Amino acid sequence: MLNVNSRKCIRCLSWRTIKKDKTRNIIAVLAIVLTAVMFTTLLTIGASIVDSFQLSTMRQVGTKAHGGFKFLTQEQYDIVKADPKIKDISYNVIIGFGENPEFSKKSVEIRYTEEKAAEWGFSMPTTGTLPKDRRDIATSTEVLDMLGLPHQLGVQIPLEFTAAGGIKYNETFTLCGFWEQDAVSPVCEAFLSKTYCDEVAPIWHETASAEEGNWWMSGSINPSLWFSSSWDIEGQMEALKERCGFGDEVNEGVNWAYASSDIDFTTIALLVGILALIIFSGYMIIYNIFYISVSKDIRFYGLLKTIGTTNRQLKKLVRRQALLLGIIGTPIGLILGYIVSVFTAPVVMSITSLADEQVLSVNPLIFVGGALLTMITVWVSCIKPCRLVSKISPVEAVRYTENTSPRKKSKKTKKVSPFSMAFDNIKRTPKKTISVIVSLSLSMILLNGTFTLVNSFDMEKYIEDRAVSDFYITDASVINLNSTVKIFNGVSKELQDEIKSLNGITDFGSVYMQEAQHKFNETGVKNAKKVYDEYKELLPMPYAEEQARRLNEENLIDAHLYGIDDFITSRLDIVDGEFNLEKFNTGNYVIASSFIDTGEGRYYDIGDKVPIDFGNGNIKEYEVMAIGDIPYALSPQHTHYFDIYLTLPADEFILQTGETGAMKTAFNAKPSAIPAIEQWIKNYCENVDPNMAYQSRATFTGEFESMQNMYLTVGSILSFILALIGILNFINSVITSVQTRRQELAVLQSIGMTGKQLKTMLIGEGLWYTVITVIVTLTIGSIITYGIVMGIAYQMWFFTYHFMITPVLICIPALILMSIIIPAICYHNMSRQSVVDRLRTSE
Amino acid sequence: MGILETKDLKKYYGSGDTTVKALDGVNFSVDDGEFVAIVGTSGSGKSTLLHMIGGLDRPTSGSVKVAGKEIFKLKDDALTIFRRRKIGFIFQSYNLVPVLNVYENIVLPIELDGNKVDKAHIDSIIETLGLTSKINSLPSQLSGGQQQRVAIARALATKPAIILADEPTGNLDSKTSLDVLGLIKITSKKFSQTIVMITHNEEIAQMADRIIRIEDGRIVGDHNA
Repeated sequence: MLNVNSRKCIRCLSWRTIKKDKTRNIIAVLAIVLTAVMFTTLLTIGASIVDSFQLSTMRQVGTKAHGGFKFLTQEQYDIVKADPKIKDISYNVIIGFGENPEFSKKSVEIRYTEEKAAEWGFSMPTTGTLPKDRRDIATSTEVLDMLGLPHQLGVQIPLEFTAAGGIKYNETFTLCGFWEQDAVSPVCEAFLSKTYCDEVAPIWHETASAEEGNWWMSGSINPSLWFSSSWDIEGQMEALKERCGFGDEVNEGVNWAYASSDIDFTTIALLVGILALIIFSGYMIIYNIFYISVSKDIRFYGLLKTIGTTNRQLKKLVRRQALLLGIIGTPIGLILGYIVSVFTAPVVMSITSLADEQVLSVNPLIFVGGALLTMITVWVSCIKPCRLVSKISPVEAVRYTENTSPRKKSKKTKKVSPFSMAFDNIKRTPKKTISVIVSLSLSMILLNGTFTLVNSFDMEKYIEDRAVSDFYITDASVINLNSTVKIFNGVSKELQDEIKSLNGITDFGSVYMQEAQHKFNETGVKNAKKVYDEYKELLPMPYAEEQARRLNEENLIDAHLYGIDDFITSRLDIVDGEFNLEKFNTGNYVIASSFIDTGEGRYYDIGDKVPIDFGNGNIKEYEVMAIGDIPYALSPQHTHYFDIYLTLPADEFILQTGETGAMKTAFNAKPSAIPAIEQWIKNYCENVDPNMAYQSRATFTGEFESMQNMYLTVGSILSFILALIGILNFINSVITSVQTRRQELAVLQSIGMTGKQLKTMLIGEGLWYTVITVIVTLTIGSIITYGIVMGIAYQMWFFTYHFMITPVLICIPALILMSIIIPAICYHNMSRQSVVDRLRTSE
Repeated sequence: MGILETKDLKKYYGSGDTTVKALDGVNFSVDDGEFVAIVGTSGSGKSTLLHMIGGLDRPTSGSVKVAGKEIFKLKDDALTIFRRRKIGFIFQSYNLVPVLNVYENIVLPIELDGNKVDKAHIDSIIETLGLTSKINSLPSQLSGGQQQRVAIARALATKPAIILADEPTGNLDSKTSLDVLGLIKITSKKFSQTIVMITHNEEIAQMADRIIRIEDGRIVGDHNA
């Protein structure tokens, strides 16, 4: 219905209308900027966490590519390469595995690689190039280190390996390029030239069989490939395989970095919650600005309607103004928001993200999303003002004053004072008043919530759980989340003795551990199946199926066998049963864990007989003394799902397994000796044996404080921005209410109200906002705070709720100051015009 | 055949004891090209009547036919469109759009309708009303009489079926009033426009072709001037 001409006309009208009201524009743009800042920051932090997680998964997987095949012939590769749905493809050829005795710590894969494949696999030389000449080699620094060679181009590298046909080679190559080894990656790569590869490992034309020997894959092609989108890579891979006509004999792999939906429900709920909060606070102010602006100009809109502007056109007029202001404010907000995230994202990620890698995401979707969310907020905020405009009848518009619908028909007569008038005045425009109060309260509630949360973090509880002793020492792989090979016997007998002999040690004890497959007896199987059925929803799917199969077919379950010294027995988490040290040390009793920490989901009950197979021929039956587990701090600290932990006395464990190296050794010291011991152990882990790591109470104190800081930083920034929005909303309301009531206020003055009284009344209005805001924050706000804080913290074991209102009390003087200054400024601006002038202007 | 016809037009405000009968069965019709004045005291219902005729407000009962169309059978937006095409308004308080200049104000109803402006027609109106030198001025820079002339021009711009004038001279001094009224009369003849004017001023009313008197929401007299 709207044709070009009328659209132009509306455009012109909205532009002129916008220009008329500069104060409103500035405030609206500021509000939109702040809203966009919050959206961008939130999205950037969110995306950065996801990206970091993805990158660190990719590094573990060893490639950025979407997926790939293994062990293809040249012919098969050509088929894949020709597939039209593949965006990019590259490959490497396996030659063999390094057999030098120095490579016992990590395996070294020898390959020829194309440049792209090397790049995708994080193995592109940063110094030098990929091999060009026949005897060139490019490899990682770790291989050089293992061989004891300098990081220098041109060094000669001896390499032993077996290639096609089972032929052994022992040759020397010249280093032409190297790169820093990625600590996360479980293997090392060494790349040779194409010429050399063709000689010793000619590319397959026929699939070899694994039965031929461990060199069988020599000469096979391993392509990595990209699809045009990362959506459902598994499905795309299946489809590709079918198109290529490959059967089960071909191995494919997908990069699960792209399939990661590992962000848990709480995080999502928290993100959605914050998102809703931002939309709501943005809505509150933008809505209020436009509602005020529209009601102020209602006669103007009524007039337009009288002379024939349709409702649709009027709505468009209002909406266009909002969108124009949005277009100005959004880009500024996006840029500022990104700058804010540059500072906040690392703080948040260092605590929340499991990834060791921290990348600041530059995904363009952040800006698209931020802009979209901001504009949606602006759009939604316009709905009600638009409805107001379209509902007003032209006749009424001419008569419209702000208080169109007084709810009360009459009013009791009471003593009139500037303050009581002020209260009546803010009651006249309930919508505006509510919006301002909600805006102001939101920031106060959030600020109070943040401090309540942080204040309720219980350092005692936290450290007690994290550190059951002053120190513990362990092999670094045990507590390094990224190490794939865990060494559970890293604390040698010698080291233990050395520590024991240190000055000032008061308590000392070790945890020994072995990973095992536990074979259930009849009682055990029956219980375990019950446990599985009850809790299988908690298990991740492919894993759960595998567990079920092994339980049903072989009666097996993953197990940890622990052996603990006396000192550790005093730290056991016993949930049921009586622990008796003397009885326990006879070596005939075991502490068994249950599926749930609190003792539900038991595989064995107290008094049951448990046969334990130590994997070396030793099998012994133990009686369950109690249900419980060793404390988390002394466990290997990785997530397990369906498994059992069986704890024995250390002597019994050593007797049965023959293992004398402990997983973790914990010890306490006299307070006076702690600094010296900390120094000693620090030196030991850094210089004597870098494979060892330790943790002390001090490390946990630091950890605790940085976590507190993260919540404080994020919470304060968010409260600060919300506070700005609240204050803007307040300023806008006060300015417009003084403007629209110019005549009315002039009338009051003309009938004898002094300037001072008038000013008192205006300040009174401001103070009423403050009073109501504080009341709302302390009553409803406290309830909301409690809900939110408990929502975030219910799963934190180190949490004790402490009621807190200090932040609100500290904010009150600032609020009061604001509610005095702003109306006072407005009054002064107004009073520059004489009463007579103001009486006359009937705008 | 009248260009404007009202039939048993009623508008009640409130209910029960407090019912105010602003209009209580008004019947009359206006012929094409007539200049009619509706006269009544304050509170007689004349403004309400004008609002009804102009489709600004809906009646309690009864009907209004403009150019053969029953306007209250139209939906809100359709009525608005009908209004901007068929009815021109002149108000006591001019009601110009403050952010638009004189020319833009005059052509606004046409552009809102998405039509091309009939340049010759507009120029002729502007000239007749003596606004040629003011077309780029903003309303705030004009005197009351000038503003009212712009309003008249705006009312004429769409070549409406009927022009409704609500106390068009109410805010003007007596000399300017006569000037403005003269212009209304001249333009109505020149562009053969039907005009319905509301006033409480007998002297002003005498300038119309026909005078309808209204009291307590009823017509009490209808005669040619």
